[in-house]
Amino acid sequence: MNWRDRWLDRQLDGWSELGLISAAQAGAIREQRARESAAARVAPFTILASLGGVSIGVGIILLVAYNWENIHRGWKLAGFGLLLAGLAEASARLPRTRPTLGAATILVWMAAPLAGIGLWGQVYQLSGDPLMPLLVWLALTAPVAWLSGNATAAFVHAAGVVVAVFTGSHVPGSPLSLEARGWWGEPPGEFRTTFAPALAGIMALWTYGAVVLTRRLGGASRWLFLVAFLFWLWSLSLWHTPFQCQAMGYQATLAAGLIALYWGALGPARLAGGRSDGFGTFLIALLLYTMTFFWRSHAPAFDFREELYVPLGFLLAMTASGVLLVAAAGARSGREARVAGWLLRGLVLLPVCLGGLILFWGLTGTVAVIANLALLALGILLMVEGVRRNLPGRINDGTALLGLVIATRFLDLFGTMLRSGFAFIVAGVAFIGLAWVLNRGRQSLVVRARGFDVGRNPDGSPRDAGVAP
Amino acid sequence: MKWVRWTLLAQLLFFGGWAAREEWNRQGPVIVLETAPVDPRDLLSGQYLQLSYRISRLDGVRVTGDLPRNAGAAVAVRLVPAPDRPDGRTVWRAAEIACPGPAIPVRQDPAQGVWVTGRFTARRFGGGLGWVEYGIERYYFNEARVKEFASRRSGAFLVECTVGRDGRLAIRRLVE
Repeated sequence: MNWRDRWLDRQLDGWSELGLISAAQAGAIREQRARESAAARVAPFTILASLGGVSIGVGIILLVAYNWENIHRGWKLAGFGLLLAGLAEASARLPRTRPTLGAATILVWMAAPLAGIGLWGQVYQLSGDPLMPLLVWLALTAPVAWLSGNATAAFVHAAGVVVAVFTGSHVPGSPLSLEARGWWGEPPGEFRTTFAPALAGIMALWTYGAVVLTRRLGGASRWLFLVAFLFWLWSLSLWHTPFQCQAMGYQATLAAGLIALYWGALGPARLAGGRSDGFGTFLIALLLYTMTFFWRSHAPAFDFREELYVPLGFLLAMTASGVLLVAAAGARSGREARVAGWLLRGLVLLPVCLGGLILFWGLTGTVAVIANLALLALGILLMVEGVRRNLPGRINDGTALLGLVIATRFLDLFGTMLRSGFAFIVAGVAFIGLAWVLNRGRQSLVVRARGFDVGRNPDGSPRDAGVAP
Repeated sequence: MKWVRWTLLAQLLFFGGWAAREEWNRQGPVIVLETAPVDPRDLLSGQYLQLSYRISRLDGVRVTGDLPRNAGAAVAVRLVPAPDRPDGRTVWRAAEIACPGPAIPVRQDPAQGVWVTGRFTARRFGGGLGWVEYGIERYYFNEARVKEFASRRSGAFLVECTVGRDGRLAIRRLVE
């Protein structure tokens, strides 16, 4: 009996004693579990035989690898062709009889052309642009991603698009490269003639990846793709591209714009309903927290060179898109949801406004103060949302955020142990008061939901009188 | 499952066509180039030597047309034999760069020099007029020969290359 079965056994005994389930039900659950365990158990000889098979396979591969240079290139290429044919045939037959093995074979078939490109490069001593092998691989495996019905294959294909975009845009000399190529201060003609076609090609790749995801995948895959896309946009400002600008004000505003884009693209329904998203909230909190440290930053670090009109246009396009997407989220019906929705939208757009204050007016001190207050507001909002929707994790997030801000600022502002000590005591009292208020709110919510007083049974007797609610 | 057969056919045609093209290109004249090797590792293709060539650096070559403004632009370089090495070997040096390059004849006369194609990478590296890559900057070898290559002195290699019928250079072998 493994640890899971022992745990289940103990639980069943406990539940039987409490009267939650009958002895017959406990017995039926044990029998079902025993059947499942027997079905899942692998016979020892099967493991041994598999180990033997793997060892022989690895041995053959190593022997071939050692003598690789002595094998004529014709044999190598023909061997690869046979392997490709075998994988394709297995991908056609296996999914019907053995679905798991079939799915794995499809993935190996998908990887095979990339290995083939490497083999051809090795055999004919070819080197060059790393983007082209990726594009060729995407083209050769597109039918597998689209027609096999295998979700993992579609995901790998979309991931390949992301890798191709990053490789193409950040490797100098590649046809889709957005890296500036050693010439700075070129006239705008340089951007239009050189970078604009590359940008168009890259956007076509992103669009293709988005179509693959929309048609073939969803959920976490789309989320990952969106995050990759936004990170790529941000990378353009950090790498050596025409969009590069590392001024702090620029970076803060761009990050704020991209966060707004994230929220707007993720789901207008969330914004309209005032429902926070874990990762999105983390991004806002991280940016606001960073902004709180701008108080002591020197102005030159925030300088933005106005002559860089390409980065400025990029910044405006990104932030405007984000703001429009967030603003376009329609309000939900119901006063409470509407208020929460507007509050959330305000919170998402606040970093954009703060970024603008830094970028155009250099008001770092003002921004730091507002960011502190916004972080406190965000913490309280998370706690209120946690109470309202009965999400303990949200309450913990809010509490952690409040604790972080207060601890950082107290150490930052008060300096000495005596003053920090007083400040911590005051904050502690405020925390306890907040916890009391929130707990009262949670209790009244439970009462409204159940229709009776939490501390009493429906007949009005105290809860500990032994009557079940 | 017709799509599986069609996909396999497309993949086999691609790889077969690629091999046929490379085999066709190997029929051109053979030249020898001077190098300076280093040894990184490529995840895709295993062990290789990173090579740079004297013909990559455009020092003292004639320029026909305008040098490209952008990295990655296709150029043609005319290589001529230079039998001035102390060991008596004939190596090939860059004599002229053209952008755009001339139409490269299928059969070139080595006595007149050969035109090869490359990509102009940058003006900033190493001074001179710029830098050209020819797609022969890596020499792949078996893992069993790692020790053999590690013991060789950097810069001591010459590389024997085929000038493809389309002007592309391809490595045949390393020579001492």
